[in-house]
Amino acid sequence: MLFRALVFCGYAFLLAPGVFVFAIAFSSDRFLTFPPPGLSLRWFVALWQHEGLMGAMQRSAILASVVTLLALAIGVPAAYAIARLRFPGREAVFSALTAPLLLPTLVLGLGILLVFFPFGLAATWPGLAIAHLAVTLPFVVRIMATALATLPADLEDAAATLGAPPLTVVRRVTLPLALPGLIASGALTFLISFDEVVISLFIAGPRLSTLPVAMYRYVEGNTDPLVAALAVVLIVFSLAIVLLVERLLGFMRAVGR
Amino acid sequence: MAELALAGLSKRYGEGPPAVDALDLAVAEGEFLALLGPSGCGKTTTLRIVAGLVPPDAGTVRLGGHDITALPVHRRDIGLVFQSYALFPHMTAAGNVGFGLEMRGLPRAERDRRVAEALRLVRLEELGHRRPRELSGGQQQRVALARAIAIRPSLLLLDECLSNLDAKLREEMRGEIRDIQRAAGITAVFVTHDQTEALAICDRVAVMREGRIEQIGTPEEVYERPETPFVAGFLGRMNRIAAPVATVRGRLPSGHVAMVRPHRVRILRDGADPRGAENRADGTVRRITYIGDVVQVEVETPLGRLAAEVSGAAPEWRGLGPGAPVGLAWAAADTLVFPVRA
Repeated sequence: MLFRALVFCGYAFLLAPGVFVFAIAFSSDRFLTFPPPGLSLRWFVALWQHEGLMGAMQRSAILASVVTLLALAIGVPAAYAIARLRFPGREAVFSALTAPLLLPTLVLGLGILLVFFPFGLAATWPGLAIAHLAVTLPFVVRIMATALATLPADLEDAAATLGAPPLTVVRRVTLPLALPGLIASGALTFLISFDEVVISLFIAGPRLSTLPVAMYRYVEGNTDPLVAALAVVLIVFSLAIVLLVERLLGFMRAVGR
Repeated sequence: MAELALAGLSKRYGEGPPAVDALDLAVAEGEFLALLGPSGCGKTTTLRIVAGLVPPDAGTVRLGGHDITALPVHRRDIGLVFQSYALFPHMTAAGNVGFGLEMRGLPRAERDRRVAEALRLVRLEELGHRRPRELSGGQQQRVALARAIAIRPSLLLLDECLSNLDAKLREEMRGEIRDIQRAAGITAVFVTHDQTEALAICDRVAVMREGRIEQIGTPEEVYERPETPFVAGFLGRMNRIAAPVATVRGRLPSGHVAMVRPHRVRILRDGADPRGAENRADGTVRRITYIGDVVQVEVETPLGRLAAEVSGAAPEWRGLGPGAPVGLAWAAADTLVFPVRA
């Protein structure tokens, strides 16, 4: 009984901010008051018309897409090499690729800024993409190395004995069987990049700001429910991706992958 | 369909002893050869070298007269049935069987025809639409076999492919594999640690030990006339006698060991006539093991503990129990003699 109460409190603590945000997002008031005096969609309309935030959202979506593609393009071959090939320095490569997971993002952000500045990469698209790769690659490499390591090497050998050249083996056997891992790491990469605040704050300039950075700056100067409406949009968006991944992976288990 | 010739094949993993040690082996066209040996004797490594999955440190692999040592796996035209079957879980049985044909660029209609043919050969024509996980172990094994022979390989390799099946199915499959291999006339190499399998289905058996071939010959040759104590001991049960006994060449010389198969040892009850058996040993019964068709009687004798094997239907073992006095007899001609290795 006591345990149940504790669990309930735990969930309440975790979910309460969301509930408040949801309530305030539909507020008719001009301030962040709770409970809201009335319900309306005016803040969603205001968000739609807010050029700064909408532009940042578009930029973040493009950036997250590019980062996802790059992270998979770099991370999957790296994970394949780590999981399948035996070469000197294999452990070192794996450690180097996953090390950023251990660093506080604040440290990472400062470090990246210091390195980027002399190269003129700060506040540029390539700079943002590289910085986001540093935080997302470890996830891709970790997830894919595990996914590939659990894939029996016999399957690839069998395809080769049947006449499939190496790249065909990867295309027809390895990647289809690693698809759940690909989808999971791709979705995770997209969400991490889309949500990334700390490092982006260091790198993003006044003209090239991502959505989380724009939100952060907006909140500094305004106290209206517009940000709550934006938060609701983001929560719904993230949930949609997570549900989609769930459905895709469940579907794939059902067809025997 | 081609002959296989291995010459001076060597492979060493890391610092340990060589897995394959200057191995020479010739398999004739259409022949079914067993590579038999305990685990770690190098038989699977040899097979993987032939398939092209493991590069040898030295030596050559020739198939149908061509040196294929440096040829990559996918251009070797060798069918391999894996111990794990290695069926593609994301393809149907027919998709698995057709994969090799697809890689060879066969047109769709021709491919479908040959997939159906291969599935019919393994009696799975009805199950082509199923995925591997919807098939039983025996059916998966058949799909793996069909997939390997559908490409009409010059050489078929089988890697312990029966060891995951239960005893009854294994016996059935081993007959089927033999029939299919013979019908197709494919040269085949079958790696196994199970001597019964090797003796039952292969034309010749190569017994391997520590990366080398200890003896190669027909099943009867390696079983009845083993050349080394290892082969004698590995194939079937064997009694080992260090004391002097009569052999074809007289008495057992020192520095040698004598061996006799349990089924060549007769059981004598109540002073029965040994009838031409030069060797006799009297003792007491230690244990009787009834396995249905045969009965093993272990007897403690002055020559050590010896086993005799008689038919379950034979009268000699009836009424025997542990502690009963009994005589054993065997002919000098059935006694194998080997020098003891230093």
